Amino acid sequence: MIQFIIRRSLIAIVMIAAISVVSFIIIQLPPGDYLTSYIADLSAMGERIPAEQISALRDAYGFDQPIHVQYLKWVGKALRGDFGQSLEWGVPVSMLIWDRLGLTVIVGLSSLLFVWAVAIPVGVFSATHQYSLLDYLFTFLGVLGLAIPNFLFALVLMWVGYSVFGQNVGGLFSPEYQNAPWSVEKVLDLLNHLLIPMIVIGTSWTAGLIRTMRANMLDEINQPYVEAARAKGLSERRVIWKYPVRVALNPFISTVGYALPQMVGGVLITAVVLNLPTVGPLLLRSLLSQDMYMAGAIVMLLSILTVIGTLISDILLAVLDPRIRLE
Amino acid sequence: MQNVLLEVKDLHVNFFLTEGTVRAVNGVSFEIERGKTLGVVGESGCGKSVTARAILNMVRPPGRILSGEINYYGYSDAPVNLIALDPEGSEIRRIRWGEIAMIFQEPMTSLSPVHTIGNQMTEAICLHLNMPKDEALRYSIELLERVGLPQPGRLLNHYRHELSGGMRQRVMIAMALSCKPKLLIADEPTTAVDVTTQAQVLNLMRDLQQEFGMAILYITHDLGVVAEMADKVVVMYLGEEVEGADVDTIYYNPAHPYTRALLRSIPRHDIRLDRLETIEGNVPDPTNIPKGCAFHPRCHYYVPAQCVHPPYQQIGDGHWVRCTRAHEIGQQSSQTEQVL
Repeated sequence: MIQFIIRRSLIAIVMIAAISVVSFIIIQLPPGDYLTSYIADLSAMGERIPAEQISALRDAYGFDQPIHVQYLKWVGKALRGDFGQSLEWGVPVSMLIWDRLGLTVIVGLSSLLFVWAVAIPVGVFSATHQYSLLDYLFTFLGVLGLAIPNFLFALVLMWVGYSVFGQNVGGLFSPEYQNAPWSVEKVLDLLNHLLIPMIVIGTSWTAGLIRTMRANMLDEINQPYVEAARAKGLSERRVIWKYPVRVALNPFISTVGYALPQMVGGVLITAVVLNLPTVGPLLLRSLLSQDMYMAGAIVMLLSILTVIGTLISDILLAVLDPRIRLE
Repeated sequence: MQNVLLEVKDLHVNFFLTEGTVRAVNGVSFEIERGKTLGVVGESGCGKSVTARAILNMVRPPGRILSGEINYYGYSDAPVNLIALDPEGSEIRRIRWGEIAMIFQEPMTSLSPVHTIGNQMTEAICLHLNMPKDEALRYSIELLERVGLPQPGRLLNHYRHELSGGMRQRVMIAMALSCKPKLLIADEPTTAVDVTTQAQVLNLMRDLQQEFGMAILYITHDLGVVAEMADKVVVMYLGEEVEGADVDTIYYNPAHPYTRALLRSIPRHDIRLDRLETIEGNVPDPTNIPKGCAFHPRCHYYVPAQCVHPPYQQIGDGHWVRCTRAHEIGQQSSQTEQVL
């Protein structure tokens, strides 16, 4: 087991190194750089910049150096927590990013909990009561949840939250706590605001996982070991929850790994509509304005978090399923 | 009657499938005596495993027990009709494993892939014998030792994929014996293991039967195994009993054409044959059982006028046959044909 964890961790480190190269290349791919678009903007406004000033700027940002030197410089600084200046905001990237990353993780994990809390019991019920009225109803609701666009659902929930419950909706904090230091009230306020994003983001995801859980359960539920457990005289609930559910859970553990990328890429529109201070909108904006240090840092950190998430889910899987430890 | 432990009376079990209704068990009746072994023989799909599940009242949808009685005389003079009990209720759950235990065809898949042997063994012990966990563990080690497994203490922490086929079936047997059941249902317990292991498992079961004094319901398609294990035999075909008698009668004086055909298709070392005999034709589609005698499409003795709905009738001492021509066939065979 320890050997398994060590081997997986080493693979994860190699993976992160490879990802850093890839994210750097992606940043470099679009033609031109921040300076080019900056100069273009200035000339569009009729300003002329002397050539020596341009080359001085190039020097300062290191855009003239060969690509691998630029890469090494970037990685070297990143390891010390310095992701460079945000060219657009004019402040260090690290100042902007940590808060949003933290909130992204919080929104991601709470959506994941919501998804689990709904999908597991519903999936188990649907499988144990296959072709019953409720099974069909859950299937219907699941498909509906999958089909409704998230942003639309978000708007509806916001409207309901505002008009029926008189809630302050949108964002993750009420205005009075926006810049306040962390306190118990602020956490409660955050939890209050988390409800809508959690449901919106969770719904479409839940629908898929209910199907997965149901299908896995149906595979397991007629296995001889389940019958053996029943023959032992265990109660039906014990039989179901101890044996087939335990085996059918494996794909859920894997969701831990991709909760974060899902939060950034998958629900970007929702995040914009709900005005969530997560990294998704920030990444979108930095990509549009070619703010390469910002974009690079976000891509890099998200990838690292994803790799760590996957590592955690791998280890959890190995703990839960002895067959996986073998390989 | 006081020797009877379990009595199955006119049991009907149907499976309601989209392709049609399968009469998996169609009016089966038999008795199991205390401490004795009843062999139930038949091809796959003849309803023998469904009968076993009906005894524990665990027929799952789309199957349903339609009618009949399964009377258990194990723990009081008054019989308990097992199939009248709530299949999820506490009384049948006390009987399962505590009174009637079962071992399954595939020892591999009848153990959980993600729980240790110890976990699965102690579970039933704690439940039925009210033992605390540590005592149950000690008892499990004793049981594993009794079924001849080496290093039983270490075995408790193992998973099913770490054991060989024979070890797994021994574990299942140890588990089934843990609550000292009065009846052990063995559903083709040696089908999935190799022949040497099969012999060991059979010997073990016979020894344990003597030691624990339990009755065994031995389900198999292998008449050779039944000859070694059973006191009485019931032969099933398409959900019905076609012949029932003590083991010697079945082997030396079989009356039903199906039983005779089964016996001829056992490979033998004392007679050289170019080809192994098989039973002509296939088991018919279970949703569409032949009218009249269900065996008639495959029967050499079929005479349309005579073979209409043969009743299950007694033709000798404890010898029951479902064949209208049983007497003629019996005479014929003693003159012309040596069955065994």
